[in-house]
Amino acid sequence: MQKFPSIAVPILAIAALALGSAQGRRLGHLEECERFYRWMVSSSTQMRLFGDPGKPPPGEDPEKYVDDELFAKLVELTEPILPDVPVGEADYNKLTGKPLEKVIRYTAAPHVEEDTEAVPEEDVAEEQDKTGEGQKTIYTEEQRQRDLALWNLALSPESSGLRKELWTAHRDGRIAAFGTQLGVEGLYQERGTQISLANMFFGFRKMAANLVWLEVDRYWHKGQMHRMLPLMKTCVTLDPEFIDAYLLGAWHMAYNATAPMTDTSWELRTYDPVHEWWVGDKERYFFYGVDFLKDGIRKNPRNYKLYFDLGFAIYEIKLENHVDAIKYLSEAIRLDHDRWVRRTLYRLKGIDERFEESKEGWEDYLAKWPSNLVAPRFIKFMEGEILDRETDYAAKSARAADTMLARAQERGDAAAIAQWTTAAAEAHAKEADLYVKAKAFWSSIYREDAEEHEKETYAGARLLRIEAMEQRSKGLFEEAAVTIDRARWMSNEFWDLGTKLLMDIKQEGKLPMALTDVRYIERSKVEEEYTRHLPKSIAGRLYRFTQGTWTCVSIGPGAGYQGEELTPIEQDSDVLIQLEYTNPEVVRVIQELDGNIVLKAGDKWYEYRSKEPAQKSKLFDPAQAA
Amino acid sequence: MGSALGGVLSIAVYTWREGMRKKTLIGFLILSILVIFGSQFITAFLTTSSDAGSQSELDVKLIKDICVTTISIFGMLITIFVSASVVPTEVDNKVIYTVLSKPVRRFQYLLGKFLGVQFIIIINLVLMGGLFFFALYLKERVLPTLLLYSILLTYFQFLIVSAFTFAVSCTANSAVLPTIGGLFIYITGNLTEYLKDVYDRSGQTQQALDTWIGYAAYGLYNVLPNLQYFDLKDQILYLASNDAPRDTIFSQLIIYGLLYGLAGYLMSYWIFRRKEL
Repeated sequence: MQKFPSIAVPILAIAALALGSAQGRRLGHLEECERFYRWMVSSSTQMRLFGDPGKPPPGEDPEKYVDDELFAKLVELTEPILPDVPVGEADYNKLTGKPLEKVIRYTAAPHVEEDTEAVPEEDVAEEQDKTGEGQKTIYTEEQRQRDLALWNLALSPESSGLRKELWTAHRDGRIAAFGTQLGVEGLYQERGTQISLANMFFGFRKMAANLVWLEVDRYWHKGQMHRMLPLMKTCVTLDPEFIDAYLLGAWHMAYNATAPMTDTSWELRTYDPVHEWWVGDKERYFFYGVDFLKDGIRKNPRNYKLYFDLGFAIYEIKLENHVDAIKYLSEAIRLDHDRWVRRTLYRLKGIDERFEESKEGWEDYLAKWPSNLVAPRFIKFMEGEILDRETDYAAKSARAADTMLARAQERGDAAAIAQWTTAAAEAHAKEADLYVKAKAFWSSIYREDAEEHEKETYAGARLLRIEAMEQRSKGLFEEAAVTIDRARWMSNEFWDLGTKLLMDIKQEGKLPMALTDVRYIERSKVEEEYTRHLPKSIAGRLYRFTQGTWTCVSIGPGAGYQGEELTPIEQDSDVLIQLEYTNPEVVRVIQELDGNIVLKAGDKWYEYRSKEPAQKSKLFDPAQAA
Repeated sequence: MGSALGGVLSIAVYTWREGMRKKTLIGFLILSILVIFGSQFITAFLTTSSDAGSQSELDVKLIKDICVTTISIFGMLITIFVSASVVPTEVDNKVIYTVLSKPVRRFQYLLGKFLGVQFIIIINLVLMGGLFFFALYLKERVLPTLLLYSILLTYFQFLIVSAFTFAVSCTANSAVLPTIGGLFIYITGNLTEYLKDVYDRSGQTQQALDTWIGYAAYGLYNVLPNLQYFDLKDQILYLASNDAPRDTIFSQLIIYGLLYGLAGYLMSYWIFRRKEL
């Protein structure tokens, strides 16, 4: 250094530069790996939820995008590398019925309660006040381990080829799954937004997004909704991690924009095949909200709030679509989430008649937070609902046994008469026994002798429902109508179900109708014409209608029909009546659906063949189908 | 060795004292502090849903964005102005001759100046970051420890800009050219990624010039520091749950900042030791 000062310093400077450059290359490699990691997580989530690894922007040529091709390569790459994970009950493709690919299953660990230790009483009150407290306790160690394995895969030389391909495709704007997972540069290739290069300069685009959001807020105060929508899109394009912009934007669309509008009459609506719903001016805004939140999920696949708002605020509250609401809330609880997300999910499962799942969820919840006041109440409700359902099924089973007995008597088949006489007697005895049990159960919750404000009104309404059903079975329709009317006025939660039952009883008993009843029935008939062949959830099982046949596509969170062997059963056949006796749940399915039905009873799959084709509706014309 | 180090420290402390008296820097600092303080109130007129949690999170997001932007802009301006002015000012007012006439070697003098500049940058960052820390704590009532990592990375980003601006300043006799040079370094450092893009797209016309431009761009891409790597400082602050496990990246970034900082300082020494004074 002393001897060659004029050479040593520049050599040292060049060496430092060279080392810096080498370090820069390493960072570049890490950055590329990070993008690859984000893409794996995001595209896998999108595949699981939406059936595609990335959706091309509206107005763009889908042929240009290579997301599907690259995702297929990812599946091929990860299949032998990633550790085996069991196929969970929700891990199957809803369209093909096949199990999801390993990488898709791997990116989302199942929700398991890691720490079953109850939260100490003294901590509960304080904990309830904190938003986000549930997050730390529920995000699983399993998920962390899996994320680490995915990160190691992203760093590994095995993924090098695909990483390069992804990066090249991204650079050429051929990746639709852009967003936080790939850096923001790709976003600026999207059409329809007025973003200058200056906005993205030096990482200040978040600030630009905030300024746009202030502008959105200003328009909101001025009531200029039409100006807000494009700006909200610009805002999240500038800052795809702006979760509140997604949440508030969707809220504006689904709630505030629709608040002054009346429901569009069914005749003026058009069918939206993407969302599988009939939409008018008002309903379209609900789906703007849905699409906005789905866009947020594509770009931020691990933020529970987007899932919660999509599931609860829009699908449940605005569209009354319990199935999709449960789907997104179930996804939300896989992630960091607040405790009320789980409570909402269990409530919705109860509403969708997935009573056992709901009860199990509430019990888990209570084990974790023993001082919670709501959980014991809902556990009781679910027990009551299960008992009521068993009672209804017992009644159906008894009716089926009666029918079989009558048929045997008609044929004069002595052996069958003896068999069905016994079976009918047993079924009626079971029905009567369950009625008594159900009554006693609801009475114990209702507590008739308690103060008025302490009574559990929903339990009271359920009690009256049992009474009404007994009256109905005896042909006392007027009494049944009065009883059920009392029940629905007793409990707000029972109102919708009570109204439907009341109408059924009045129609069955041919009782005189009030003007409001007539209008209710007429409205229901028109609605039925439009909605008859939309997907339906019956007792937690989802049925889809295609080409004159209903097929059970999912059972709770699990798979539906996946090509298993079908046993044919004809309408009104003895085989069907016997099936109704052993598996009375099929009666309800046959009553509520029309045409042929692929359904599951017990462990077997059946193909119910109706004598009449499916009824005509706005989505299906039997004449054309024939 | 002890006295040499003592001399360096004396010059560093003197530089720091001198720098903190500069009105421009105090102006930047006061402005930045006002903006950070004002970020507390910007959300007061915003509409949100009835969810109080959502309101609070939007507030926090806006505060973070405003403060991060403020620290980046004003911190960078302070870094460039200080780094660009310490040596040329002393040359201009001839103080440097008095110092170098004492038993102080150029190496010691320059190291002292460089360290003094770093003290100024660090003190400014600590003041701005401290207020940001306090503003976030007031809002969330949870110590925002991640902010400390973010501030640390911000410093290493400033270190690179500071070192190269310092090198430019050693060639000049006034602060104007190094200031412009510093801004240019900052802008170039943020656009390095585009050089890679130029290289990737080169050669498409099959012309020799096109290919050579590509090679030149690639060479520059490899040599010039890429300041966009430090965007991690923003990501750390928001900590989205789909982020990769990135403990490794953090330490690598610090090494990156140190290496380029060292390269910048050695370049400045190389220039300064040949400077005629």
